[in-house]
Amino acid sequence: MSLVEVTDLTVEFGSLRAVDGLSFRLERGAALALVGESGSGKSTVASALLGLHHGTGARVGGSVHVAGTDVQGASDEELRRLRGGKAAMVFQDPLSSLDPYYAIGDQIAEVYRVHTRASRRAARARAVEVLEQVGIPDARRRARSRPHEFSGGMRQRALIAMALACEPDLLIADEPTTALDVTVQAQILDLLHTLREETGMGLLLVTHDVGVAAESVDEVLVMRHGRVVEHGRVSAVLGSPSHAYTRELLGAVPRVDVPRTGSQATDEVVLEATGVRREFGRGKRALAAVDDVSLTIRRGETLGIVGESGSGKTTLGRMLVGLLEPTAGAIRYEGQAHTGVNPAVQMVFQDPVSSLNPRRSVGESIADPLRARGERDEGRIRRRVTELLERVGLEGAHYGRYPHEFSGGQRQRVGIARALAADPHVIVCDEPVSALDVTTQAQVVALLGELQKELGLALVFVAHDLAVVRQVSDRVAVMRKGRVVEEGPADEVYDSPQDPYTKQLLAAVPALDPEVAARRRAARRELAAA
Amino acid sequence: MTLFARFALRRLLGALLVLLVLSIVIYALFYVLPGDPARLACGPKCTTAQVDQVRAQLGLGHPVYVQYAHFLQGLFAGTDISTGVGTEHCGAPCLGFSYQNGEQVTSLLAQRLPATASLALGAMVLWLILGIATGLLSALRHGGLTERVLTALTLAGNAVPVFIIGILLMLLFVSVLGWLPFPSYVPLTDDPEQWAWNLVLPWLSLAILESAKYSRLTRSSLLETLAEDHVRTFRAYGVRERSIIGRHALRGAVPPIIALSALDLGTMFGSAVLTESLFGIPGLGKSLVDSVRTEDLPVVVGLVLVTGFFVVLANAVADVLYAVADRRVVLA
Amino acid sequence: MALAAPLLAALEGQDPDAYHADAVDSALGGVPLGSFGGIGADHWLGVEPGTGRDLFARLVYGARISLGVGLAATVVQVVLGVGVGLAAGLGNRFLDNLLSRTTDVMLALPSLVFAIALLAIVPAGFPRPVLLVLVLGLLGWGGTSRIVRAQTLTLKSLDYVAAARLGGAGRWRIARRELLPSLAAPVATYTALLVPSNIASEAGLSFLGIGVKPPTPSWGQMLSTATTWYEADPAYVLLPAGLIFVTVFAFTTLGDGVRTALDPRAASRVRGRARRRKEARA
Repeated sequence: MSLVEVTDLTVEFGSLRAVDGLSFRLERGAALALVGESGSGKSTVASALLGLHHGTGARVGGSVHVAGTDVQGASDEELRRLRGGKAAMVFQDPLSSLDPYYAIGDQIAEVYRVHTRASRRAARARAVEVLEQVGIPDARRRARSRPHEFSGGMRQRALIAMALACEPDLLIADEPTTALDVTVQAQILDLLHTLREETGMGLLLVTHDVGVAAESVDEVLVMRHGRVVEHGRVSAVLGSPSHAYTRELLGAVPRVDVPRTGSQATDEVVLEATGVRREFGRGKRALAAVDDVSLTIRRGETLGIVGESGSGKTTLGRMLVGLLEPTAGAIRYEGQAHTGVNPAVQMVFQDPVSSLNPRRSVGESIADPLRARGERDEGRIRRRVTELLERVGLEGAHYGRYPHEFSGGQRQRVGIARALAADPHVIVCDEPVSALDVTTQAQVVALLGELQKELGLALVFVAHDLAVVRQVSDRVAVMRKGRVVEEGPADEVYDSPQDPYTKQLLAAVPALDPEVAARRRAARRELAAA
Repeated sequence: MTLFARFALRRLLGALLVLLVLSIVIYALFYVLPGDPARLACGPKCTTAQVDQVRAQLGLGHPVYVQYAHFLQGLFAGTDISTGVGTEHCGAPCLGFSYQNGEQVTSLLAQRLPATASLALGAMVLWLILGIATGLLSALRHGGLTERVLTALTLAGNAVPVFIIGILLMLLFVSVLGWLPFPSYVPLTDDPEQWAWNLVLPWLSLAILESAKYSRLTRSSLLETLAEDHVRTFRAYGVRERSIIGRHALRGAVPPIIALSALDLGTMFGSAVLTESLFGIPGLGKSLVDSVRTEDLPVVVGLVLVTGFFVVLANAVADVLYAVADRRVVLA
Repeated sequence: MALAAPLLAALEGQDPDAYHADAVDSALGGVPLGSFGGIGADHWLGVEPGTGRDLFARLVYGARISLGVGLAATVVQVVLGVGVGLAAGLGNRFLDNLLSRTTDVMLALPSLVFAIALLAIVPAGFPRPVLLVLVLGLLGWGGTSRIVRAQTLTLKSLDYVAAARLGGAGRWRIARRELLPSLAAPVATYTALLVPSNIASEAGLSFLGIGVKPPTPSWGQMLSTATTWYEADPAYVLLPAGLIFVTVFAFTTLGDGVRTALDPRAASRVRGRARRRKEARA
């Protein structure tokens, strides 16, 4: 019998059918990825494998067999034995997935004792053992730390250690690297790979990121609206997709090795930062989020600013638009030093939820810059807003609607329209697409490109995703710990990086081709061993 | 020094600062603003000669800051005060002299402390038991009839003034059923059994009122924790529901309950005015009402200071205890 | 009911301050004649022991004081609290520190004790109800202020406020358009729960004999008189006690309802419950 056998699975929450007639198998020791965009039902499937929908009011149909347990017909006792014992789950957000009040070692020991008759002492010892196995240094001491004393990557390792404690046959990983930086993501994916080689357990990976899937598994199953779109070997599905949706999905995924096309960059500098520094906190605890950064932005070009969390890229973006004042250094617009906000320099924000006032109609939000400029003629305001809405691919009739009536991508379009209302020459985009699904991401990126061409805009594109930045940028600045470590034309930075950190970042980007992925993994291993 | 020790120290220093400000405000309100504080302090029955003596004692001839400094000196180092018939030493913390009672305010208040402590500590034990039990029950029966009944009860308990609850309880247990004596305070050292028996009604009144708060707090923090991701983790690892609630969900309710208890206990010292008055318990609160009626200003001011001290101290202790129970706040 | 007090009393035909010596039994120390505290066609709810004043008339006039003081004190607290909170949230670091520390001190004050002490030193000539409003109002704005400040700081850090700044909106425009509408819900919620607490405070102070002084009727003051009679005339105790109970409970329930209605999370929970119930029936 296979490790996992799912036949005709349906899961309904009220009138919503999240999973609709899904069937698949996973053999012992094999690895399968469920890939899909948000709302595809992939996480719901993962929960169904452990019977986590029991008692939640969801209706589950079809049959699910995991490691010899009939999940649908199992008693509570049998389900408890399955959960964590034979099949263990690793969740997305490692901080909230651990109890903040207990030491990490104790939490692992508690789970271990649920499934074995081990003594407290033996369970603690086992916890230290698995923490060592997942590569936590000084595991005996660190086992006594609480979750908030660990970094994000360490916490994810600890969660994986918890999963390993009872030597399960199957590991279910639900977006295990989504909250992590790209270099940490590569470490965790490598760890999963090594553990699979060592223990021979099966892996079911749930992810929205095709690259992550290509790095980690043998087979992929592409899901959409709760159904299977395409299922097969990674190389086959990603190499020669047979279904239109798979092709669309793959087409939308930005590639780190494909340069930008159709640039209209000029040499005329519009915005310039010279030696800017920004500190937070005062006195001894002052911390420089941005430290001595100088950049120029030219008319018609896109400057990509890329960096991991804590690199200072968002702080830099906010200084460029005048929302934050630099502690030292200056921002010049068209050669003139400028403090405070400037209508000609606008911003598109990351979070499409918090960047629009939920209590005001989108039309009113877009009209704000017009009114602030002193426009009083309601007819003219309305015409201009309608024009802007249509320009970003929405309808003029959307004027009176409220933000919650729009999807994430549409809200981001509203944000772009609001920025355009001020007739800017520069738009700083702070992670404008990182909260969006990959197909929506591609549409928003395309829209920004069109607008740039049409209006001769200079764009600053701040993002953590190296592939997206390459896709849109003429020039790139790589940031780390508040400083720019490397800056230059995008092709040069990506194809022949000089700084070791840039090299490390690029090596961590997941590859879509499984063979390339394997080569990179080997390279990373050598790097780590050296 | 650890982060935690620094946090605790900072919090206690902050409390000291608030107390200093409080003492200035109180001094200004009661000894500077009124037209003739000496007459107020001496009381309505004083002769002009006695008032003059009090005026000299308070140093009213001196500039305001000298008066205040003198007042502070009494608080921290003690001072000599004239009592009208002679001079006696008033050790720190010196809160002044009650000319009506012919006694130092500090010793007057010290006599009142045991009764207040008896009331506060006993009631706290009761309200903690009552509150946590009903809160737990209400959270576990979430969505059921039990929860709705308990929610309505706690809402009523939370809203209704303590003296109403006390009067109703008194009517029921003393007048109608005759199960309990009409409360009259008996010191613990005299007769422990009578002490407890006479305090049952006050304890119960306060506990009904206060437990409503704890019930709501327990319920909401339990429900909040049960909805959190880490509870999902332990469910997905086959941990029994009983351990999830006992070990993980209840643990999350501990910090706010401890903090609130410290706060409430501090408030009980002096602010249980209504309960003490209603049941005739000779504690700090009753003493406040009595001295307001007899216009004994030094005692009133002393009481306000002492009550403020307990409340501010309790605030700081609550914060520190919260941090003990949840170390993450130290980092924030 | 409070507004219509003179009307209601006139309807019954009794004056709240008129003595009715004929209605009490002076031989028994002034216990009302008749059952349940002397209830009858003349005195709908009976009369006060000792004096024989009409209870219904006193209760409806008392409502004016009790509810009036409770509501007016709330208005003072909310105006002060919103003002200070907004100023702290929008002002510079110095102003914020100053106002926040002041708020901390206000919140640390034992307000009941302070109120009692303050009421003691104010000259007797000052109208008591007004004094009560001022004392309760001036001592009780800390909570509102803290909530408003915290909410303002949260809102200020939101991207849509940053976007409005980029659009060229001034400080006032942002406060009016982006902040105040979002502050309304938490302030309304908190206000709804302040009203019953103020009514209870007034009742408590008057019960202690420190708030409203006789002959002005207020529920707490009536209850205070009533407790001295509670063995002989329990009906007299139950009336004001019951009224305070019901009023405070009703306002609290109302406040709780406001909170549920305005809390988006709670509202979606209610909707979810309704949906589940509907599905269960289907």
